[in-house]
Amino acid sequence: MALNMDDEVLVLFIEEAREHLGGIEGDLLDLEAMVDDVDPEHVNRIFRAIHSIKGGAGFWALNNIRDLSHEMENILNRIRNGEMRPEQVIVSALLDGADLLASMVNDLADSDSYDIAQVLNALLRVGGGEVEAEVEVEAEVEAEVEAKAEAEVEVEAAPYLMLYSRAGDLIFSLETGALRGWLDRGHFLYFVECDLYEDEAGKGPVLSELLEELCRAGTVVESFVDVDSLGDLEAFVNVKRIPFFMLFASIVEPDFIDGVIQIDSARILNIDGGMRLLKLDGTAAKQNIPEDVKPLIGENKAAGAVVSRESAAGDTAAAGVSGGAGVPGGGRALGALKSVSAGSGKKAAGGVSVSGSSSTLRVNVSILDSLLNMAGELVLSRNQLKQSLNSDNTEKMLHISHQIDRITTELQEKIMQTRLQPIDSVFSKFQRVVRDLSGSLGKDVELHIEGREVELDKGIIEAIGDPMTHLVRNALDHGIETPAEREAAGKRSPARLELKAFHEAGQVFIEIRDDGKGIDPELIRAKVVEKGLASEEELKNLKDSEIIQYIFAPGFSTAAAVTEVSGRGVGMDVVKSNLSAIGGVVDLQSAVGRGTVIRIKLPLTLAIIPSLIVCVAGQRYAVPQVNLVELHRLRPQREPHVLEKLNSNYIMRLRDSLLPVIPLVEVLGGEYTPDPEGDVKIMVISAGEMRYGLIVDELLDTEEIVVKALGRHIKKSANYAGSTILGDGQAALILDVVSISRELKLELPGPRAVDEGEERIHGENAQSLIIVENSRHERFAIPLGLVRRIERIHRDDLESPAGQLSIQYRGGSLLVFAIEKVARVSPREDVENPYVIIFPYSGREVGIIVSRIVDAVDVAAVIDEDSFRMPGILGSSIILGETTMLLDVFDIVNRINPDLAEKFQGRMKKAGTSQKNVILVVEDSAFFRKNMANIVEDCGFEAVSAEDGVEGLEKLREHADRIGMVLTDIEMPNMDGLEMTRHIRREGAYEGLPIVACTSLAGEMAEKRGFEAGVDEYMIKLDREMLSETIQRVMTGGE
Amino acid sequence: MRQIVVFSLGGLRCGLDITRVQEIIRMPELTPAGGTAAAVAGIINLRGQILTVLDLRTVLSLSAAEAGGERKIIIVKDREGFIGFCCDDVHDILTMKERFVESKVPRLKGVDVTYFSGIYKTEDMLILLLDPERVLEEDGGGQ
Repeated sequence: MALNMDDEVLVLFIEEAREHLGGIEGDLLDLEAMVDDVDPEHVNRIFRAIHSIKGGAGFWALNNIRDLSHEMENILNRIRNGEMRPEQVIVSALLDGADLLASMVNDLADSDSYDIAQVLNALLRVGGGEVEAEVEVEAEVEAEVEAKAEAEVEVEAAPYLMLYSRAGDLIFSLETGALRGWLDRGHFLYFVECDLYEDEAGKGPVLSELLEELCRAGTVVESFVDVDSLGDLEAFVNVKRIPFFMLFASIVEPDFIDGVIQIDSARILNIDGGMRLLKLDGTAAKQNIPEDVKPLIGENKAAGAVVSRESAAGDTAAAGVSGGAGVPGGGRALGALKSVSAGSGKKAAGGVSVSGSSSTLRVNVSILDSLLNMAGELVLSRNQLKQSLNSDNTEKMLHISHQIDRITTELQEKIMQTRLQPIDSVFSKFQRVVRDLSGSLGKDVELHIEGREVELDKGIIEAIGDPMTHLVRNALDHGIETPAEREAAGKRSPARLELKAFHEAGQVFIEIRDDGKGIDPELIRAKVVEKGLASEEELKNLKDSEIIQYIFAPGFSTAAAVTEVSGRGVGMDVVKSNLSAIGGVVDLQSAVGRGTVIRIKLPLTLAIIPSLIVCVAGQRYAVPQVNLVELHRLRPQREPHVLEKLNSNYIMRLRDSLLPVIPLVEVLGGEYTPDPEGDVKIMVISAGEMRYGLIVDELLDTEEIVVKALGRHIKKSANYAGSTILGDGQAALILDVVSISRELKLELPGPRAVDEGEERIHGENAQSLIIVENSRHERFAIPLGLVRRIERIHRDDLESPAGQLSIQYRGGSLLVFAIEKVARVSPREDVENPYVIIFPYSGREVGIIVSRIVDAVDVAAVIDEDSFRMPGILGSSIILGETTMLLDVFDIVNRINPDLAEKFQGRMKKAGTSQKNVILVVEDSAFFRKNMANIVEDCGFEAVSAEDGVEGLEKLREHADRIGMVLTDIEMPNMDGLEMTRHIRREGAYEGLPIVACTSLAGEMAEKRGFEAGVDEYMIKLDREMLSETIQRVMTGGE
Repeated sequence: MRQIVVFSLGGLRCGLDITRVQEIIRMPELTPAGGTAAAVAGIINLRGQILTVLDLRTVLSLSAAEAGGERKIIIVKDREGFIGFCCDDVHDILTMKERFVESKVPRLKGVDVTYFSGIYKTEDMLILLLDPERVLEEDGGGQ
């Protein structure tokens, strides 16, 4: 059967074959690695893949593919049985086989013209030669066929069998290969001629009945209605016959076939294995071949000439026939007619894409589920809209339109996310490349891959394949030394080649690192001068690190002979320009004798990044979170010297060092008019080594935004890195804060000095914190005072019955909570020994799991709650030189398992006997306020919170009869703790109300002032034990 | 026989070859892009795509439009993607009779005529034929 490229089933076969072959390379390499300890299930997997390809190939008579698969299957079978070991030679043969299969699958129609002999022989050789006999047998058969030349029909040893009508017209021109396919599968082939015209005697079969019969008995391979012979319209009226020809395949033997189909046995001819025509009784049949037709042996082109006549007829025939009656099952066969007759032959209706990039992609089912949900929501909203259009309720319509707006944006973003693919699809192929290359170069290299799961836009992934291949090949060819050279240099073998992908500063980085011989600047210098790219003079002033950048210059190549391995003359300049084309940047660093690192930075386009949305001059802008160090809200009135103006420049004092600060509105071309009364909001930005501040009008939320590219007019400006569409549909620009700093040529050096000053304790807000890491580069801080214990566990200790993480601990189950379930942060790195931070919660102990403990520090943390306003996160600060987020551990637990708190509080409320079971917590920092409130609740009391003294007094008045105690900070805006205490003491109504000051301001003077104002006790913040104990004592005692 | 979209900029009537025009929309909420070329009015969200909008008045050195009043955007095919041209109002689509098209544009006060490729004379008015390439290259060129 000739191939119909539109056939759905065929397309499916191709897709599946591609998938199988896609995974097979990795599997074969793994198999090689397990040569001493083969996992039969692994071999089975590979075997099954090849087996299914073989099956499909057989069905469509794709002989080469079938034969090749068959050999591979044999070998895999023997490996599976333990008869063979997957040594390198064998695996190499299998890999070559897989490569060839892949090529043929991509070029299905031509696959049988591929030369598979070399690969096949290699497989046979490693397979031990048993199978060679089969090949010989086939050769014999072929010889036989050739010998029997006495055909009435043109029997061609080569591809085509010609079948003629009794009138001498060429009806079919069939590929013998395809025909043999049917015969091989135990079918018989029949060439049938019949008459569709129902004559008076009613003897002719009705087409539909006939086809039904045929389909029950077998498969119509080809068919043709000779409409031409009917003549023109006039003649048509008198026509008495409609000749119909068919190639039919059936398992019914010639002896019985005429009983099965209602056609005169004289009109049915059998085609045997030698491609000869026989009558049903086995005698030879004669075909009426017109004399002027030359025997057509294997040439498509000539066939075209003859065939073209029938192609015209064929098309109309197909149209005529299929229009004539309902054709069950036979329809497919009728359609197949076209591909035989088309003069263009093999590349008929080709929809098979040969290029490497497939037009399909894999999407995570969870994304599809989300899309489905959103589609559902959209439908609901639309229905609501329709309904509300009848009523006149504009408010409702407004609400609905907001909904639809939101859902639509979400939908769009989600769909764009489907284009994100893990970079593994690029990385994994390098296993093979490195293996093969190191083999052919005689080098011993170990490949390490990190960051396979980093996601990039599909388009970018496709574009970086080639440049990366070149870079890897370069590293292997020029960078890594031979084992002998390495030994002489005292380096260990195997050499190490690292491929690493990671997110940083809002972009994706790929690093190719080797520990080879590095790039010698002297060699480069010499080469540059030799090639005339620069003069010795010019080079004299350049540092080594700058000299080696010449590698990227066009016209440069250090290979003594441009080896075949790294590509003929394809230089680093091509790599650079390929990457620039997709907006990427490549950078090179090297140390002679030690190795080289190549860093590729890929653009933001279509990355989804968390950003802070700020407002300046009434417009909203997005600032990528990774550039943000911290946020400050300065109150110039209260802290007059923090922000200073020097000439026309603003400078900020940040923990003992100075930071240049610019109003963002000025960067954008406007004028800055500071509000004398209001707060000044400053974002501290990290731009490479530099730090600086930007003044904005408002700090809004943190949002995850989808980055969209900018048009060329705006791209030219240094201010913007991209654009996005905000939740309400408004377009917004993403600031390129790093470029902005470069443009402004900010000079004050920042940052190293700043880090050192941090560890000193200033007094206000001094904290003991434990710093932990959940995923690489993401740090969190937990107040040490909250922590009861820290346990190191093994990753296998983590259980998750019913989705809630837990570990077996001290004879019971300890509930464990993961940060990323609540806060929008990267998932936890799966280390072998993670840590569980244990703290009390609602009367029991719970744990938060992290991957690493960094340190325990005492720092003056400048905490601003406006930053990183996310569930589970209370604020951020720079600690130990890195942005660290302050965890709200109670929030995390509460959001994952709200029942825990409720149950406990419920119990406590019932148990509480006293009327006065409320504690007033007055504290301006949300961080401390929340933590204190939690401790209060944990002790079984209700917490009422206030942000400053004024609010404190209000709340006190409100809940006067229930408040049994006041916990207050001292340093607060509007009215500080001491002032508030004095007020409280003045009012007789609150006589005897215990006021406990909770502050880190230590020292006798401070305490004295406190007591003078009327404070009863002085406490250190967030020492959980002490605070709980004090609360208990005060609340249950003094009544 | 060329068809043009006729639009107005201040007192000026201009025409743009319809084959370059993708669509015409009312001006939605515009996000300004400070720090870019003066002619860049800003960006808008067009069905999920970010579109740069150029202010033709600025390009042609006309006086700025008065605030308020609805403006329209003509979306034009660009090298890669689309760009919006902001104008005051869009009027008709005319099929030009070639014999009334003059390729030489006389000097006009207060207008930079280098952006026009010709003039079309109708019964009651003169329509300046805008050359979109000139407009697009001028502020986005060299990229």
